[in-house]
Amino acid sequence: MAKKVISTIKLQISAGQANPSPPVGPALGQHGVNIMEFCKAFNAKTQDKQGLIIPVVITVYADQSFTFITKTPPAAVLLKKAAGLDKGSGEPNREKVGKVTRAQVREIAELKEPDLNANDVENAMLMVEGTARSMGIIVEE
Amino acid sequence: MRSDKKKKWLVVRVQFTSCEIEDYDFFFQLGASGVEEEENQFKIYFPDTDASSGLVHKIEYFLKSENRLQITNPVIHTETIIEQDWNQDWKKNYLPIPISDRILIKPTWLEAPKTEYDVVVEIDPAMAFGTGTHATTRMCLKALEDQIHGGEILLDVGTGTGILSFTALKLGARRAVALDTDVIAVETAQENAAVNNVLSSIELFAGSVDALKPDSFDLLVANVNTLVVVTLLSKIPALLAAHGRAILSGILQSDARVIEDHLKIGNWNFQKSQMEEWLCYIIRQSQV
Repeated sequence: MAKKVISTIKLQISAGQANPSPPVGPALGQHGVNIMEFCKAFNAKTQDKQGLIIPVVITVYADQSFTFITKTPPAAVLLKKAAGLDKGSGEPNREKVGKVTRAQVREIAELKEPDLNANDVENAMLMVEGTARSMGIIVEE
Repeated sequence: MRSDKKKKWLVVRVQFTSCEIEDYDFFFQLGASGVEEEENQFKIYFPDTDASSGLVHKIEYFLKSENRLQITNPVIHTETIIEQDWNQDWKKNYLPIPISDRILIKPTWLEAPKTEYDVVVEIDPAMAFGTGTHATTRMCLKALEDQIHGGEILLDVGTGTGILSFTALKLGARRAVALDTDVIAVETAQENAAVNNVLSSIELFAGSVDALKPDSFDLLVANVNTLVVVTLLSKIPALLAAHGRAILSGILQSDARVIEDHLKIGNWNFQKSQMEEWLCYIIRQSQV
């Protein structure tokens, strides 16, 4: 029989750097989850993505066990990193704040593909390009 | 002694009717340690409360000026939370754990069951890693039982609660040097060392292996992660005595190839064990 789920917790935290401080400690502790065990598993699974913020969804069961899935960083974060920007444009139609190449868009699309509702990389690239436009980032050929 | 000054966090809670936010990068640039997403609100955690009014102002401005967020009816609340043992609820279900016929790990706050275990190690994990529940700790404890025959000097890298050092000492090791880069872990290990009556045979410090004398140790144990193990591998030959061995864990099965490539390069012989998705290696230098 499937285990009863008592909570689903969504966090965004630094890859490879989870520790029992907030938000991890209070978010997991209130459901009786072994915080250090989560930190160990999360850090092991994200150690190759140091420097990125990783969305993670933690499912807590009635017996206080847990499972989690990590997602890829938001496309906007990856685009800002690729374009060397701190932030996107407040008025993306009028004010262009940076550029990325199609090769960079492809790289981001390939990384994001597992989390996107795209059939293939080409469609994932279209979604990433849409995010770039909404941030005032030009995609160069 | 545990530091008296408790850390504080500022929690900025943003409630809304609807919001398209996916990217919280702006808050991390302001120094956030993380974000918790819930229905119709998200909470941003900042590790220091000195600049709270400035932070809230910047967040208000960001939410108003970023059209792409499409946030409706945002309301911001702030609160300060103080560091505490967030593991309290979990600890209610932390029960004695038999590791083998000889070794039992038990919480400090429970009476020892009347048993025939030779080695009973008492742990209050507080906010440090190493309770005996995790597969990597259990594999390291079993490896220590195999490798300790009496009189060894142990180096424990990433000691956490100190569980591996205490077990080694109670199994017959003569002395343990235990270190962790996390000051809170070292404080926790110090308190646990007192409970286990091993203070006179353990040296605990916050720092890295770079501060240690070469050729000093019969046995090294490191339950850390793949990146730390890989870095450590090049330093181990200088730390171990000629006959020395090392127990390495905190390694996911998916990282086996990385570790084993490095072991080949370093001319190490190894034995491997696996529990769940985690690996533990016992390594020694190949005889030339």
